[in-house]
Amino acid sequence: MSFLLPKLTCKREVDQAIKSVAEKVLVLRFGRDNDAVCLQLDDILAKTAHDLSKMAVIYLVDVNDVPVYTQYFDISYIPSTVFFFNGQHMKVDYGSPDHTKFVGSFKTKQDFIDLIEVIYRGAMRGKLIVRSPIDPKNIPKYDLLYQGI
Amino acid sequence: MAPGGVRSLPPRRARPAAPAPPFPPRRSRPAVPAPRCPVPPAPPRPPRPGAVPEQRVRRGPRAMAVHYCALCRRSAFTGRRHRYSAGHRRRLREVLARLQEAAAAARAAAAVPDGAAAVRRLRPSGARGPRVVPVLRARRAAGRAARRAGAAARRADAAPGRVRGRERAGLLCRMPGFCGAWPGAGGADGITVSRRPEHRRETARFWRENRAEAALRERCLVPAEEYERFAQALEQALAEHQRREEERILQMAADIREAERRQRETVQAALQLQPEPEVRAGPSVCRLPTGPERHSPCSAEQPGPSGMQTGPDLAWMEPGEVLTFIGHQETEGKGNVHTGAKPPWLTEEEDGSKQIGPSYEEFLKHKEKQKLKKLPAERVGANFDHTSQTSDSWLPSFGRVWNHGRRWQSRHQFRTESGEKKEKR
Repeated sequence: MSFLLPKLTCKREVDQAIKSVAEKVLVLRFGRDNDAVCLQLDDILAKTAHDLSKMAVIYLVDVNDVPVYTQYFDISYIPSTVFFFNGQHMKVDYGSPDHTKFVGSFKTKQDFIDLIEVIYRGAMRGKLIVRSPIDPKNIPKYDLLYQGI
Repeated sequence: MAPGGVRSLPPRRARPAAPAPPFPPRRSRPAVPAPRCPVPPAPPRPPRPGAVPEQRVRRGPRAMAVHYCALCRRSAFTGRRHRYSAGHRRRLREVLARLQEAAAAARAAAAVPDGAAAVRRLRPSGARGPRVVPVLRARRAAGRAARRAGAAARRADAAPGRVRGRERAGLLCRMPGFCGAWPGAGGADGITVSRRPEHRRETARFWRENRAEAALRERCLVPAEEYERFAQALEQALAEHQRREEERILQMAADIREAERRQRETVQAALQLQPEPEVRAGPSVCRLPTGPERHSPCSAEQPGPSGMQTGPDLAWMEPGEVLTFIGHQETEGKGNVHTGAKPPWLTEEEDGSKQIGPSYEEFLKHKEKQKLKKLPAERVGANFDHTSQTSDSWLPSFGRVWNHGRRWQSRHQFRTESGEKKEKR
C-alpha cells in the first residue's frame, strides 16, 4: 500500500519533485495514509506503478505536512490526486466541477492507466487540459462547496 | 362735342371683347393684400468690349430674380411674388400649425411640475424609448421649425440638401447647436435656441415676410421661464431616480447577504448533528448517496431528485462511507489554483543561496573534460569507458600476469582462488 510508494514529507521535497521529474507524468496523491479511501487509491497506484514506470512517477504526500499545497490546490476532500508534466500542472476534465485534481479513488486499475496515458499523450502534444477517458459513472461524486456559502 | 375748333376723337366703336388674360382665373384668396406690380427689369446693359453680342442673356419682359423658397423647397422664378402664391401659403399654414402643436406639447411637458412625468421621460431617455420620442421630437421639431423660420430668409441661397423628416421640413438648419444628440436636458436645443435674440429677430422677420399672423408667433415659441422650470424639474427628477436606483441595489445586496447567512447556518446545523466525518449536503443539487442510517436534517430541503441522482452505481465506491472532508482551505488573501495564483513550487525563495547550475568543482571537472576533447581521437584508450563497473574479480584478459603461458591454462588456478571450483571427486 502506502509503503510501496515513495513519500514526500515537506514542501521542499514536493518542489524538488515537481521541478525535476522530466518527460514523465508526475502523480501526487494528497491524502492521509490511514484513510480508507486513500488506502484503496494507494493500492491501485502501487499495483500500477511498475507498469507505468516509463510514463509516470507516483508520490504520496500527506496533507498535514504541506499546508501550502493543501491551500493552493484547495484540497477539501481526500484523497486528491494532482498531475504534473515537466513542471506544468495538468488539468483534466473528468465531468466533475473541479478540473485541477482528481478527488476520490479510481474504480479499477485500468481507469488509472487510461487516465495516465491520456495525460501523457496530451502533454506530448502540448495540451494543458485533456478530457478524461474514465466513464463518468466511475468518477466519484462530491459536493464542491465554494467558500462563504 | 365742341363745335369746330377742338378735334376730338371719333366716336368710339364697339370694340371686341378684350382677350382673356394669360394668367389663370383669379381664385379667392384669404385676406391677401393685392399684389404689388412687379418691378420692370432694368434695361439691358451695353455689352462689354470683348463680349460677343449673341451671348447676351435674353430675358423676357416679365423676367424676375430667381428666388429659392426654402419652405416649398423649390426655386421660384417668379421672384417675391411666390411668397403670396396659394401653394406657398398653404405650406406655410401647415408648417405653422405643426409648429404650434409642437410648441404646445413642449410647453405642456415643461409645465408638468416634476416627478412622475419627468421620471417617465427620463428613464427611457437613457435608452431612447419610444415613449419619449414623440415628446422630444416634438420639441425638436418646434426648435427646428422655429429656427428654420428664422433662417429661411437668411439662407435663401443656401443649399440645404436632402432633408428627411416627418414634418414638412423646409430647411435643416446647420446651426452649430443643432445635432442629433439630445442633451440631458431633454431636447431643449429648440428651446435654448429660441431664446437667443438673433433667433427672435429672424423669427420676426420670417413672420413679416411671409405675412403670417402675429398671434401665431406667440403660440409657437416656448417662453424662457417654462424652460427654466423644466430644467429644474429635470434635475430633481434625476436625483430622485438615482437615489431610488441605489436603494434598490442596496436592498438586493442585503437580500443576498441574508440568503448567504441562512445557508451558512443551515450547513452549520447539519455539521453539528453529524459527528462522524461525512460530506455536508450543501445547497447544491448534487448529493452523495445517503445510506439508510444517515438522516440529515437537510434532506427536507431537497426531496426526490437529488436522492435518485446517485443510484446504485456508486455502491462500489465506498460501501456506506464517503470521502473524508478536511475542511475549507482558507487562503487569507493568497490565491489558489482556481484563482490562478503563483504556484508554490515557483515561489520558493527561502532555501538559502540555492545556486542554479553546477558547483565550482563540477565546473573544474567540466573544464578538464573539455581539454580532453582536444587530444587526438585515435590515441590508445580514447574510448576507455570510465563508468563501467567492474567487480573485484575482473582482470585484464592476458592471463596470470606474471605467469608463463596463456590465460586459458590458468583457469583452474583462478577458480580455486575464487572458491568456485568444487573439489573434484
